[in-house]
Amino acid sequence: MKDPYRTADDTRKGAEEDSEENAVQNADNSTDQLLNHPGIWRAGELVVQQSQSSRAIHTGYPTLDEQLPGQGWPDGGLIEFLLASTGVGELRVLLPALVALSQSENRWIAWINPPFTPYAPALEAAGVDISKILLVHPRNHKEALWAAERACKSASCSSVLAWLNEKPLKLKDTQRLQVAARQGRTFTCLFRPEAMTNQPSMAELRMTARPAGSSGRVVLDIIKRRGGWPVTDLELPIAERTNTQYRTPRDIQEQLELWRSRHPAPACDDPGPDPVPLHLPAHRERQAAHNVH
Amino acid sequence: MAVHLPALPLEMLDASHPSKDSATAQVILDDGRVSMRNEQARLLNIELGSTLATAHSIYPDLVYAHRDPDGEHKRLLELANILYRCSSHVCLQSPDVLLLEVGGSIRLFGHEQLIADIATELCVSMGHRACTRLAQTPAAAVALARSGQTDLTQVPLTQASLEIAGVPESAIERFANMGIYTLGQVLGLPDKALGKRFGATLLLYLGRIRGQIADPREPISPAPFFERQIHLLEPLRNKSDLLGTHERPLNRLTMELQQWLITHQLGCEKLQWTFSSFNPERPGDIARLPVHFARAKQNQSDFLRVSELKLEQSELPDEILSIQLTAKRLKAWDNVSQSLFLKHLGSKGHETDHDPTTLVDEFIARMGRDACRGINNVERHVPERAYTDVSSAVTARKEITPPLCTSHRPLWLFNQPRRARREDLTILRGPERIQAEWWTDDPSGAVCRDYFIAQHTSGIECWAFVDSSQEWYLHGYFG
Repeated sequence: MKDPYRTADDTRKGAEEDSEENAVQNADNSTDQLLNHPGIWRAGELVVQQSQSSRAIHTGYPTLDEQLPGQGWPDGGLIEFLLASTGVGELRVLLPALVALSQSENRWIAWINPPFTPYAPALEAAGVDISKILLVHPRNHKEALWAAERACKSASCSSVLAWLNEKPLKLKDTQRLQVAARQGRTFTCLFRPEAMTNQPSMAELRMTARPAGSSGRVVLDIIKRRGGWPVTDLELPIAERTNTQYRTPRDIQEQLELWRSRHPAPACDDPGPDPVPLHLPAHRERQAAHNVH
Repeated sequence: MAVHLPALPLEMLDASHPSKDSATAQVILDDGRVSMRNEQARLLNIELGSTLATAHSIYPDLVYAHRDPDGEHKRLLELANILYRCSSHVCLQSPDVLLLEVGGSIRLFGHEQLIADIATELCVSMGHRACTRLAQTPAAAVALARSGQTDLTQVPLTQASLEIAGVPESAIERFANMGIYTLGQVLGLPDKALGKRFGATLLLYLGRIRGQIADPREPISPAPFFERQIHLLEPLRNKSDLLGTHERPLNRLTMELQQWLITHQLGCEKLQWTFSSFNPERPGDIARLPVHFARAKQNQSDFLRVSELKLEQSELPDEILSIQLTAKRLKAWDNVSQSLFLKHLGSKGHETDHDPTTLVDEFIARMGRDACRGINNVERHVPERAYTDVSSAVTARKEITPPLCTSHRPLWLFNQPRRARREDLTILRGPERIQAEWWTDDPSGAVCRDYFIAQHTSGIECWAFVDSSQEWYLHGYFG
């Protein structure tokens, strides 16, 4: 409500004060707006908010989710795995996401130029719908790149896993894949050797994977992520994905030696004895019953 | 219903001359004289009835073709096959009219005018202008369609198709001398007097127009296969000239295939392009390109997209003069309802009604038939025989076999087991004995292995086995 006793000067002064306040408020708003802009990142803050158009896919590993922008794998955008060796545990890291995508979407999971055969019984046991798996075997690098880019852009693929020839792979190729994955909003993983860690790449997320000291675990180093510093030594328990947990390797070793000494492997035409039961000390027998299939 | 194609020969010439400039004058010659001309030729004042030499003197770059009654009849038959969609009783009325009995189709389509509109639209999509008219009798419909009139009594005698009915041209002249110019005037005259002066043929014609005399027509029987060919007037030397706009040969042929498939309620799983040069020096210069589809397709855009990829990868003759499209494998069309308003969005905002086989078709077209595979289980105990790679079409149909054994299997399996040293492996779990197929006739297929989950010195968890000869092998990684 207006003050009836205010003079014209007061009114002018008040108006000036108001306008100053408004200006400060506007400046605050615009600063907030600027700071909330998805393109602006403040050091020390991991960008958690994602735009409406891109949502993350949970990795299935809470410790990893915490370290990734949007609390999961980017849905659309290239992820690079730099592996000490193929089979180090990369598939089991991705498995929860693959299971979720294969079951929730009627689209392909394209494996471009895989180094080995993805084993159908194991994938099915892990919960992947194998009818969604599409193996693509290109004849050369050019075709592999084309297939990867086409699959990324296509609405028919929920995810693309690609193993490309490293020698001819260039920075602009990773850029093309990154753009295609963003365009098609396809969960895209490129697997490369660890030696390429120092090579520049346009991937949105880069991480190395190496075996942990103990089996059934893998160690990840996130070397590039959107809105965050690199993270090292992120140890994930992957054994539960293929149900290959065990207790003490030494027990198994002993059990094996014992078993093999008693039951040498028979010739093929002889069905041979059943591998169980074993005659172990009572305290070991319970453990063996747990461990032996 | 009659469908008149007034410019059929010119349109056929158009199809054979895809690279022409739109301003090219074209004429059709009949007995050495111009019997038909396009708009450009008309603007250049090339008169009907003039000789080729005269026309050439007016416009040296004139494109011309001689009337080809057989070719026109064939084309008419092809169009009749497409219009079979509108009626099960389609007849040809040479040289340029198709007749459809639409009385039986009204219940299906709702209104006869709608059938006429569909027929016109189909002809336009096939590259032909059409004039469609409905009447109670076939002869009346033909007279209306050829004259373009809507009232039978107003049809000029010169356009009333009297010549088709066998009435001599002199009769029309005699009518003109009597001051009779339209069909309505003739129909108003007493039959007896007309018969006396002009003969029974005219009476027969008039009787058929009125529906007083039966006018049976033999319907076509739809062709069980699709094969279309375009012969070009000038050779094509560039792949990019083959497709693009709707006038290009591949676009024309695929559009015809689409319409033919819709008419016959079929889908095409495999088609074949044949490009030939007719080069007498290289008689074997023919390229055949089969194009496969994981699921039967009916849409022109699907045919074109995959064919284009196939073309990019293929060698064609240097000069192409003839292009043929054959539908090799046809299947009853399994119609899937599409959403009416754009696409449904899935849980993650993706289009869900996208046909997943489209991508597979593109991959196969570009990289060969073995480029795309799916995986499936096989009910066998031996690990390397417990899976198979199958056509992606099989997995797209979700024909998945349940696995026999699912526990403790690696995600990566080697195609061939690799020799390993025992000392490199730390056993983590096992053994699991797999002893199988000793019961088969082939003893070499028998397997007796003790499998272990082991950690390699490199730290990788692997699936290893020891066989009856005590040799150690790696068979997969747990990944």
